[in-house]
Amino acid sequence: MPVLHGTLTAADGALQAILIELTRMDVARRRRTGSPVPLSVTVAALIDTGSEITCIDPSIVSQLGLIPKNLGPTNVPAAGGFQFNWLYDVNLTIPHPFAPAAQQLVIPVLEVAEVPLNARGCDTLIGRDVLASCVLIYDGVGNSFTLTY
Amino acid sequence: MSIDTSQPAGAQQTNPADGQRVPLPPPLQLLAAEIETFHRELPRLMDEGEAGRYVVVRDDQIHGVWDTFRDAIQYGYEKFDDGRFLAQKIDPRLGPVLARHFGPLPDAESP
Repeated sequence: MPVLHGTLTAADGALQAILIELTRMDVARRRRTGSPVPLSVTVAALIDTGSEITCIDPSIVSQLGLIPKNLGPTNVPAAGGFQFNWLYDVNLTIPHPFAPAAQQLVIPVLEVAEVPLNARGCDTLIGRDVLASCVLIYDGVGNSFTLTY
Repeated sequence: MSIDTSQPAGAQQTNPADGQRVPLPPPLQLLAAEIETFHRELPRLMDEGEAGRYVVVRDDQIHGVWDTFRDAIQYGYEKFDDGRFLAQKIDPRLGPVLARHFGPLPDAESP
């Protein structure tokens, strides 16, 4: 199984580089209709075991030109509590620096919630929906984390 | 950061007692017609045992119910070239929330 090692930062915690891009179905639609297909967005995402679903900042929604697909309840105490937010469909990849492409963690269709995160110092939260495919070891004493998938 | 999708106790108290309708927040107005259609159809969908599945809505029409989000958006992307459609999970918790904007939930058995 591919293993990723990271260093914890005092300010941010466990940050992992990920790629967010359009789903293959959305790309096919855009190509069919001659619409622009934005490039994937690479972000440093915060691994957040307190988040049930993966969340993206509105700036990423804007960069990818995403159209909302689903209205979902979210309870974000740090952002006003219980409310309904738009959910979007994206393709999420956790790239591995050394493993071949076939061994990268790719989730072709992932529902993500739009939550303002930028003011809190990150653009994306990796939630338990993605972590459900991984083994996360958080080594606070050693100041590191390991993500195996 | 803690983010969950469960509804905390008391969240349904947002339904105004005076029956006044609150405009949809601006971010939700992008698919206002689809949300209103979903609201209108929610009791029937619940009555038919569709809770937990995904309904595809465009304007004032339902375009089928699917087992997964992926199936629903695949259908939507193939059918609607502009990508504008709702692939909404059938969740009874939405009823009281949407009632604030569109009025009380209609009875499933009413015409």
